[in-house]
Amino acid sequence: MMNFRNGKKTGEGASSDIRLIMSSLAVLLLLAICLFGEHFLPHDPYLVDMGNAFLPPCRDYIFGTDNLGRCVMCRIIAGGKTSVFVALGVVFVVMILGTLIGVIAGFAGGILDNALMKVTLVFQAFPAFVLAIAIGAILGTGIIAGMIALIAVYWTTYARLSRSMILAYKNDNYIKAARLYGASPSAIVFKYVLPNTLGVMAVTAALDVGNVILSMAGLSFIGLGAARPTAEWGAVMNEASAYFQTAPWIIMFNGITLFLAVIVFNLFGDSLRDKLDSKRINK
Amino acid sequence: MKKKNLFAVALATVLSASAIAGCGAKEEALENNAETEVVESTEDAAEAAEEASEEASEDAATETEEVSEESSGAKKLVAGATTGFFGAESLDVAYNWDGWLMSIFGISENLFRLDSNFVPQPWLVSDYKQVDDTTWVFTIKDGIKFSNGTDVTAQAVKDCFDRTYANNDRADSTLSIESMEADGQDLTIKTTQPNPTILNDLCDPLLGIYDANAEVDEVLGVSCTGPYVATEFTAMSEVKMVKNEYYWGGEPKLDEVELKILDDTNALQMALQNGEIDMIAQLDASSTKLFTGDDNFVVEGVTSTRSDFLMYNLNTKGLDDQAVRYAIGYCIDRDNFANVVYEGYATSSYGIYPEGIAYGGTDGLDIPVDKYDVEKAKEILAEAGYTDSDNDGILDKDGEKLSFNAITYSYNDASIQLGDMLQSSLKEAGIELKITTYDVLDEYLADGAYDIAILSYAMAPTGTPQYFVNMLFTTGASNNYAGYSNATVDELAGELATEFDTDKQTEIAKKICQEVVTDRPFDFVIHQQLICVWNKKVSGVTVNPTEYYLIDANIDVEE
Amino acid sequence: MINKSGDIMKRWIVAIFNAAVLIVGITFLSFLLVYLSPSDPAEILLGKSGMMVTDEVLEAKRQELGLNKPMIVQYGLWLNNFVHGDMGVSFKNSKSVSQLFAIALPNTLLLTAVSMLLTIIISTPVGIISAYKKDGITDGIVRAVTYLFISIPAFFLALIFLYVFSLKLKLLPVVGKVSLKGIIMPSLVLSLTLSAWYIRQVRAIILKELEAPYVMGLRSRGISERSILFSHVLVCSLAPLLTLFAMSFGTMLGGSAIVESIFSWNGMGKLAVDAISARDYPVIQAFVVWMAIIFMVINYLVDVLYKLVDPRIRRNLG
Repeated sequence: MMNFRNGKKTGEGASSDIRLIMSSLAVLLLLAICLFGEHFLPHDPYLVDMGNAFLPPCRDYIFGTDNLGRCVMCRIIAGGKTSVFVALGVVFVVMILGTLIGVIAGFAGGILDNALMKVTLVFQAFPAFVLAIAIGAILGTGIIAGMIALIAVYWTTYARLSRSMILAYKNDNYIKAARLYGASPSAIVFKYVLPNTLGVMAVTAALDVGNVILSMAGLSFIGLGAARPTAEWGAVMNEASAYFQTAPWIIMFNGITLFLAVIVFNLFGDSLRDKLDSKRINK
Repeated sequence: MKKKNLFAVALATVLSASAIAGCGAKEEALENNAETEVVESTEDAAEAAEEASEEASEDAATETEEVSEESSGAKKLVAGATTGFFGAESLDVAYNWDGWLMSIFGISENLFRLDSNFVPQPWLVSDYKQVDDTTWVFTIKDGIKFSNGTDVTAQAVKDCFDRTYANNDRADSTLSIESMEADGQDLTIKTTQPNPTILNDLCDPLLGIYDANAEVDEVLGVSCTGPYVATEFTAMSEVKMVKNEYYWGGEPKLDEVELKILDDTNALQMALQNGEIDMIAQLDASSTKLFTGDDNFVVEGVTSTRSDFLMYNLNTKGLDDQAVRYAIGYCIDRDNFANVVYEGYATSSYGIYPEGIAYGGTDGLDIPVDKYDVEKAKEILAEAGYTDSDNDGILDKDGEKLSFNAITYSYNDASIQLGDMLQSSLKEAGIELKITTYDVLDEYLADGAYDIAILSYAMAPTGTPQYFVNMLFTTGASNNYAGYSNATVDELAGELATEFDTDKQTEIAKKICQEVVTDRPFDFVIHQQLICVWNKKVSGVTVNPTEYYLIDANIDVEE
Repeated sequence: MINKSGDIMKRWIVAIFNAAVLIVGITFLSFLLVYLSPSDPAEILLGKSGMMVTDEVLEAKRQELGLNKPMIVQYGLWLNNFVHGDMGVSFKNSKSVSQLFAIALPNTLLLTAVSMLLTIIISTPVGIISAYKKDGITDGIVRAVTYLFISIPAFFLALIFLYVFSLKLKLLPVVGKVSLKGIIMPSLVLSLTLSAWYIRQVRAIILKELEAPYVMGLRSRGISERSILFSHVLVCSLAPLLTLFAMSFGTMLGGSAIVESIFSWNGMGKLAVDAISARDYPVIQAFVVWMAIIFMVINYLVDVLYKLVDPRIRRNLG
């Protein structure tokens, strides 16, 4: 029975490797399009051409044109740079910030730990999107404001996760051994604990990218977060929703792109997690 | 059971523990309140659920009822609009801006009414005369009753104005009254100073007539003279009305009217397409395309006095140069803005006021910018000495680059699109434009924290030129954030304030327009149309450009 | 025995202390919302009344509203008012926020309750089936479909629903009246996006249980799959499922903001989204506080339930 299970796992491991490679490639492709796509665009994404407004998809404009005759595809690619990198930025910040707070809390223990965890609790007491709305509303529209709002929502997971991992390691024998041999606490953190924690954090982060993209688009859609004329996906969809019936291609192509980007990141995060899980099991 | 008790104990201890936590009795009360209220609200939810299912079955019942009602001839109109057009906070004419909305609803009426050319016509008065510079006598029509059955006498109108002036500070700036006297149907009004625009001022819905002597209903507000009377009202959400049994102007054609606010453009459009509403008041120009090609709907637009325009900060280096302002003027693609963004429901403006007004249009004006011509703009800039000395695509002179910050409303689709268009064509002409949007602009305008503002204002809500001249054009005027100052304009504005002769008023207004068009501290881009769309079974709708009126006795629905 | 009850006491005190911290935290953070907002309530309120705003009037109004007092005092005043049901006055329409919420809150609770119910009805069986048929065709389809719904923005799905069901098929009304027909689309959109996530979690939980040694033991004793599922696996999974429920309730409360505004459902979310465009801070603030309080109460209820259902925890307590 056990053998059978292990065998199955190895089989799964192979297919999960393939999935990981495929989804990594997809992520890389997406990032490349967002980063370099701008230089290969057939049209200027901000160039207004009123004579060509509301063109349905055609050979010159494969995704059609918008209300000001701008190329929808070019704007999606230009907007992708904002949407995707804003999400990556948010995830990067929360991962560092959250992990740091968690590590500090975990190691310090006592009052500091207690206080930090209370703060975490308070932030988690708000339904995520509600907190984002609250903070977005204070800061007003703008990409930075939106990013701060999302950072406030997402950091808690990392803080709690890293803290619990630190606590687990604290009781781990090899850390105890390191202490006995006189290693300084910071050396322990950097040499043993962080590398182990970061793996889990990275997977969580990868899984969060898609959610952050969705949340940012949601914020922009209700008028917080990115503001026009920035070509951010949510903001563009907010603008395009006025032409939902008359020029559906604007919102449709934006929506589908957003959807695909989120799927790509989710697949990547999932396969990364599976990989890590199987590693752990094999260990 | 044991666990339940534990929970109860827990709740009780939460309350006391929080007091221990050092935050005092307030939290205690809060928690107390929060807990009980939440419990209540879950009960509410259960109730609401019950109600909802009840309502659902009721709905089904009323639907069948409606069918039979319709066949028996009860006529009902359901109209929708956004908060801007239907958003009343109360049904009290004297409260904030609610008089305006009640006029739109067909509940309140004024002594005078603006016709489609913005000329005041007698409404509740049968006759009027000017006794001297400051004294006017108005004769109220005989036989008019408020919707509660009380007669409308001069005394009633006086009492009404007295209450409105006591309750709303805006009244005095609308029409400054020294004293009033009532005698039968004759109301004598003495103004504090000679007022050539008194008849227009009396059209302001704030001066709508209602029964100030009857008690004001907490929900349904005051009794007025209009064709419809509210039966149900939810602030900023909806109003239900029935015909006014006492209406003086012939029997209203509809039995019931229901007006509701739908702020989501898509929901509004689809509700009309779906037959859930019969009419949309003040439709977004971008949505007209859905209905213009469809035989089932009628779309009508009339040019209002609302204008999209640029305001230049004359203290900004570069914009203080008339040549640059002219060049920017040539970079505004007015026709495409009117035809594409506004779907043709706007007219390009090369002057100041719209055509429909006596002093509007471009006739008799010498206009310096008369088309969209980026090449011409380049020429003007070159002649004025602007060159691209550092080859970065942006023109400069004396080390100053032509790079400006434009600000506009974050919620106004059209003005943002104007910004986008301008940004694109100015770039071609060698001027850089950065656009920032804000929810409230006033602060940035007042602080001069802008170079170009893209604004949208109603220029002559009661048809008088004085309004906008005194708001924007004179030195130090309330909204003259451009810092514009022209002695001739100030002098002409002074003349305008005391001129009773309409022809002469028009003449002076035209002179002011000429000054402003030449100096160009503001660039008027288009005049918007007020657009309404309705199902073709609705008839008798008059779209009045003033935005003051909508529902009247003539609107009818046929089945 | 005494010792044990002392332990329970201690546990409750800690829980209560945590709750107190939470409540202070929630209210303080929400208070900061208006306190830090760029607008001046005195100016907005005066501007609304159509008065000429002079500096003296403004100053007097600020005094009246207590805006000159130190922050912590303002917080106290605000909290005191809040507790007494006074959540301030809406900048947008001068109505008291409590009045607005009296109508909106039941609507939102109704919508979230129905959506939650739908989510559970949809996702629990699907998740279980998917777990049982692990790696089969059904499982594959379920997983693919959940992937799609997890990755689609709720507002996009909502617009598509409106277009298809209202406009094209003319089945459902555009304007979400509080009625049976009106609630279908908003609750469906809310529960579909959530179900996608929920199904995956249910599947994972059940899978974990199925791989537990005791299941193998039961199987070897020849106990039927049905009985294993209903009498053992489900019972043991109830606790994690409940936690899931609490967590997803938060997602739902947040998601209701967008969905309510698209379907014109007169709830707190629509109120909040409208308030955002008008920068109507008192309404946004009340929305935030209420959502957090509801979320907190749900969490506590689930916590209590959790202890009631989980046999392992129950044993420890008993």
